[in-house]
Amino acid sequence: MNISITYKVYIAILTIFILLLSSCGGKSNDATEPFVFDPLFDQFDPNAINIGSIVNAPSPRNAILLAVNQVNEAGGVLGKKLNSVALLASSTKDAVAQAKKLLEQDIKVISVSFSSRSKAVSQLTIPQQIPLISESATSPFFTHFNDNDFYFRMVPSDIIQSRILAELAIQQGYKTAVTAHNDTDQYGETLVEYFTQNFEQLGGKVLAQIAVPFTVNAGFDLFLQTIIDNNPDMVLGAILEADESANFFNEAIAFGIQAKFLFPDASTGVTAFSNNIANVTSIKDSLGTAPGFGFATNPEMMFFDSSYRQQFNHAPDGFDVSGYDFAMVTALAIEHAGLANNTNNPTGLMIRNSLRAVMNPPGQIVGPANIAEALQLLRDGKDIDYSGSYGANNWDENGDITGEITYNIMEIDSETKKWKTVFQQQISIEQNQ
Amino acid sequence: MLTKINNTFSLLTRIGKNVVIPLTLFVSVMYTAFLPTAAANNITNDDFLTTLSLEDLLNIEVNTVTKTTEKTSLSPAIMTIITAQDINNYGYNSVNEALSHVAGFVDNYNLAMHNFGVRGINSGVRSGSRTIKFMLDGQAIAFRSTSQNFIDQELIPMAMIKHIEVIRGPASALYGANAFLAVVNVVTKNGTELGKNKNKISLQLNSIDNAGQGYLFSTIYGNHTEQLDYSFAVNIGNSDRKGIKLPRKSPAYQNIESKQSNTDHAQPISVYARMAYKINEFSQLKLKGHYQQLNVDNPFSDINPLQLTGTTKIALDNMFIRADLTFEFTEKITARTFIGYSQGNTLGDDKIELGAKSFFLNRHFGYSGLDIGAEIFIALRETDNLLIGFDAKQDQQKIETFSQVDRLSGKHTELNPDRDETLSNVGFYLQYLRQLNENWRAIIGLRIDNDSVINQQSSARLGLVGQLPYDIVLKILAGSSFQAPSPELLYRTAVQAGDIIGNPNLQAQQAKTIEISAAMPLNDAMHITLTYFNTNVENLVVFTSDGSNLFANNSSDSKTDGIEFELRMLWQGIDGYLNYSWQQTKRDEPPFSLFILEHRKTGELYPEQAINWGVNYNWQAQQIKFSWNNRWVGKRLASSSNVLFINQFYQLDSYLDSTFTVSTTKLSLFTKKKTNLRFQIKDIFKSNYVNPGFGGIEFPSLGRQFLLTFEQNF
Repeated sequence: MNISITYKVYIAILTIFILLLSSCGGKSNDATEPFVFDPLFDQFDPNAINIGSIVNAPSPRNAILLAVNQVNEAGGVLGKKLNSVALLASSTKDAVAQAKKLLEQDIKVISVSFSSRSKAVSQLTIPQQIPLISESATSPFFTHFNDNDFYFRMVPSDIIQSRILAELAIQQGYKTAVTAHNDTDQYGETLVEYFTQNFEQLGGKVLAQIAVPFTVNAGFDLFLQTIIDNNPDMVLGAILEADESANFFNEAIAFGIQAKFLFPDASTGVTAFSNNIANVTSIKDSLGTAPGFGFATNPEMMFFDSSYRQQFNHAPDGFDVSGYDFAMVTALAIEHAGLANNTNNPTGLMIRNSLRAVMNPPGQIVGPANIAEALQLLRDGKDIDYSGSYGANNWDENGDITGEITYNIMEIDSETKKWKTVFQQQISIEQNQ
Repeated sequence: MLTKINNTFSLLTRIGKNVVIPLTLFVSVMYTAFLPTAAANNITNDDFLTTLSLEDLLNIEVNTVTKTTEKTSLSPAIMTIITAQDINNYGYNSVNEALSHVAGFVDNYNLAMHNFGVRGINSGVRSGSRTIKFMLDGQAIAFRSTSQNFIDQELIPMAMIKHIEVIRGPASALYGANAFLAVVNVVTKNGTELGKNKNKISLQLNSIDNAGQGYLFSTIYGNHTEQLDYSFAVNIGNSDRKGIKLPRKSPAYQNIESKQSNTDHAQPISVYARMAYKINEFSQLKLKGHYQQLNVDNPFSDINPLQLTGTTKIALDNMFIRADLTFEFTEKITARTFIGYSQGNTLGDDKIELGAKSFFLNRHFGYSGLDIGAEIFIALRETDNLLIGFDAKQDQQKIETFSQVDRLSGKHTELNPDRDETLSNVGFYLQYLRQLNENWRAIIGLRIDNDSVINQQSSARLGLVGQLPYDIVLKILAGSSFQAPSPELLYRTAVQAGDIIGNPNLQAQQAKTIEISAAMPLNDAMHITLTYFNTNVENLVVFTSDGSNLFANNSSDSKTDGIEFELRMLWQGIDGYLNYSWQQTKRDEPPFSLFILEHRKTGELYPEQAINWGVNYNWQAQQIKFSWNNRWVGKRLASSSNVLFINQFYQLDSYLDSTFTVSTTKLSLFTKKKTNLRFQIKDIFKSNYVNPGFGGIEFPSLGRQFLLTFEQNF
């Protein structure tokens, strides 16, 4: 067959098409143009009440999103949807850059993981009177931090964890120790300082403190040689990032280090640590402590645990429950602040002023399982006392929590390569401890 | 010898790359155009001079679709054939290069491995085109530990290829696992098609504008007697790509110390041999063996990229040997059996750089596999036939382990214990082809696989092919397919952040596809094909991260609709093609997520649109061919890995990659033995395009390259 259109017409159409295409779509700028950073673009909702979170891993982000979802299912806050702008940071530098972006918008409250990151970000939030609530900052530094009462946290100071670690070390029969933490890390520096005090008070001896720069993620030979040189009974592995802590441990085994390891909460209960242990039999008999899980049989904890597993199809990690409580108590504080100040758009200062009002007595005990009722009580002008999944805690005048705190003593199961709780130890923190 | 040649070329290039290359081009063209040699006469016909008619091109006999010989245009599949003529015209230097110009295929090259997406779906990080079943003369070539396919110059010399049969759409009903989104069967030349004056030896020199130089040495040889036919092919190459820059668009650009590759060599090796022995009038024995070595630095690895302490290297070998016995019981009944052995391993220089000054890691993993199969082909009537068969495999998989290697002493310290797994599969299949009437032909196929990991899988296909008025060929096809999770995705354990951690509960991905295609000639010189497809993938495997490691999970379902338009033109020495693909993907919300950035509503990595076009002019009087070949790829959504890293959605720019080729046989050094000289410029407009990467980086392209190929027949 032969259709009447001539070859020339076909070729002309094709040529024009090709020339048009060649001239308008060929140049890519990706090789030379830097990335345009706008992390709020996809997440900020101008019609909602927005809170921010700068987390170290997806699991606390998920816990926060779970709480926000449950608050919205309960009707939201101040007649609006509660929205979480959830950002993942891989360093303090990243966290600060993200915080600057968050503070360009109307973000009511910010949660930041880790002591060092939350300390750095607080330098931006405090002047702007935006409450910063960390779900995982445990450094004793913050107890007397000059924060104009805009820094809060959901977990206890490491004054306690360092004592538990020291007691555990002595119970295990360790007489000498070497500690390892990241240089300039607020968390590691203070944990090691208090651990050393406690361990030596109990008769032990810290032979050396190793400060590993944040820039060293692998190749720890020089630091491992210090351990070899000192030949301690145990090593306190307080490297901040769990996967780098696993690198440190893997290299230590390959280096021939025979000492047992004891891990604080940066690694304990964190899957990024256990997943990256090269040979799980090498970590047998090493224990860790974690204040990030809450008391297992607390009904509110069970509610969180089952909600989390149902939503995300895996178990929560350390400090997920405290992230969850952060979002819950923040939602209540926003509702309280709006009602107290007769606005549906309360400021950070107003919310800060409401935090203790919803977290502390007096008032009806409420928790995540009845968040709708809690919000309604506020709307009805009643006082509430938030008793979270993490624990029935209150905030003291420093923004530190008080009340019953649960510490998990954990080890890695050699079959499943997952952390498992050996036992839970409850500590009661009184105000100003 | 080869090193010497390479060094000489490097020296020339150092003297003045921008002078030498254009000068070479100019001299080559002028010399061949105006200084004819006596040896140019009486050259044996082969790929350079062969000019298939449009009808020939559309009716190339293929057998990948049904395992029976049939014409391409009437085969019950959406199919593209890349002929030896296409390979020669456009100077394709590797199978991946040829494939990247086929409708529905988009490459996402990380400078170590090619990761093709098909019709809207790309399997993501380190997938190595695993959603496609690549075969060499019918034998699957995947590295079975990872299901990755090594399809660059480590696959086979291009001159050895008779044609490449590319099927878009599911083919598990015949080929079982991993014939998921497409099948690519590379059909090679036998000894009869090679032989005296058609055997070749070639040397290609290349120079990368943004990096260094390299070479590729190839030879193909074949011969035959009345009973014996044999051929073999060898590729050995080495290319220095040091200096390729990290794209500025990379989200982690500021965090990465080195902004360009400091060491980057690609050293492909492939050896292929095939032999057919006619035992008697009724039976034939075929033997073939293939060895390939992927040995390539991987500076743009998604883990620890561009380390100053050294460069991560992928060094793997992969091989198979296979024997096929065919026996014709009667004119109508033929039986075929085969037995094959495959093996793949890491090589000694495979390494992972963590950034440690004192050590790096060695990987150790691999597999050995035994395959057997038998099938019987029954010609029921002249046009109807039945195929019944089974195949079985048993693989011993050595799961990945690592050792720490001290740089100074070379001492190896094992980090994790050895672990082996045995995987097996048995598949039974049945296919019935029936001519319904003068114009319509139907196919029905069914296959049941019983897999030791993913249990029973069933795949089916139905098809109708109709020859309508005005020479229109209409195809209505439906089929299903599945992809078995690789041992890597099932069992791997991690020793560092970024590693994939196996998920033993991973299920097979399943695809269901409907295709409607209409093909027709526009006139004597032009032929067009228009195809609509709809693919639904269930249990789509995506990678999730806990902020440290990657986990393969069966996620939401994915639905893709698309259109492919193909045009082929042959007119007065001008051979041209154009194809256009459009697709729209919709992914359901992931079931276990509340995070907005984890819902990739329209998929990732794959463009909505892509266009390829090329034109080749054969100036027969002067024995010169010119070709201009183009690939335009639309904007591609960034990987989930990078979106979650930088906390926002974004996309990569569209690009145009143009290759100009001029080749000639005028410069023939020996009487009756053709010499082909070819000069190419790739990415002639220096688009320096960027592919979507993972782990915080994007993948650069090689940029503009100059290639000079000397090919001598003997």
